[in-house]
Amino acid sequence: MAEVADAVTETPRVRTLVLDVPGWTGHRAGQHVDVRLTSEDGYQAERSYSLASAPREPPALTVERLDDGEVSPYLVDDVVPGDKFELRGPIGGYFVWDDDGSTEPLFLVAGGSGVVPLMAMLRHRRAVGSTVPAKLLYSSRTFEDVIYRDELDGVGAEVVQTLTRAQPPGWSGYGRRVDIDMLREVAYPPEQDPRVFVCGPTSFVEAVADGLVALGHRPGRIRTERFGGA
Amino acid sequence: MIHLDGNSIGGLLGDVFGRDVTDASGRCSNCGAENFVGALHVYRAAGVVVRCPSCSAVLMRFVESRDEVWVDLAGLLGSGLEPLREARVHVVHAGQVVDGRTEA
Repeated sequence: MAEVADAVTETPRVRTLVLDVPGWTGHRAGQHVDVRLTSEDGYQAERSYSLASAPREPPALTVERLDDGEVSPYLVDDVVPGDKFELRGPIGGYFVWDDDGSTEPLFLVAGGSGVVPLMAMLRHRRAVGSTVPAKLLYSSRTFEDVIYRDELDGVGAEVVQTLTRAQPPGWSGYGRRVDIDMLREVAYPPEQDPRVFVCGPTSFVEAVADGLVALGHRPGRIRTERFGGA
Repeated sequence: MIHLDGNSIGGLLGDVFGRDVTDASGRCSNCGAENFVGALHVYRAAGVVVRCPSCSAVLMRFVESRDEVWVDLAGLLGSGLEPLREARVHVVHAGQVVDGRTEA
């Protein structure tokens, strides 16, 4: 069981839950957990959420509310510190970044709340003082939807943002969906053989991965994590 | 129907195989493509269907009830993955439970 130690509002639709999990022995940047809720009549709903915190920090989940969801509205709107729920994890050895001594640059591409596991990687990189070059291309709908907005400046990596629906006055970032021209301008060139992690909705991930391959990046260097609705 | 990545069922796979297998690799029995389990395509409905990213052939199927899970791995070759020999994990092949336990 996990107990909610703290709850932090990130955006109007997104909240971070810092958890106290007895026996937690740490995690790897990019891993997720399964949260299982059981209603009074025994009905169970289980969903996966990415860990947002660096491996040596307490586990924290950043959750976006899906209005027709079974689990996320509870986690975003209702849970208060002291509440408990069932947790399985940490899970995953594929979509993870360890500070393993390799020197190729790290290129991260996030759509919406897909930024969560990538933020864990950037927090880990900062915490261990890694000198691996890192860049985050982060697509949000509007400025108000940008998760971790204040922390992005000090995360120690180059952050390039695009806002697809509306841009505030004076916005200096991109103002459209991620496309192949944007990837060409922002991504490390294929000759540098960057390690690439892409996380977001399925259509976003497909477009980014296809674009990077078309630009000459090796498919084997691109790791993806798609997330679906509900 | 949209799909997710094999990574998304890491928890289920951990229950079936007793360890994290998302960075294990296996070969498609139809087209021969080699992929990490974490990169396979996952379709969720009443059960979980795992397909080859290259040719969409079915590589693995899982059906969960509250306490048990039925596993069909016939489409995935060379992975070396062995389901736990536990009462709650049932191996299915060609529609028959083949792990020696009584069919539920």
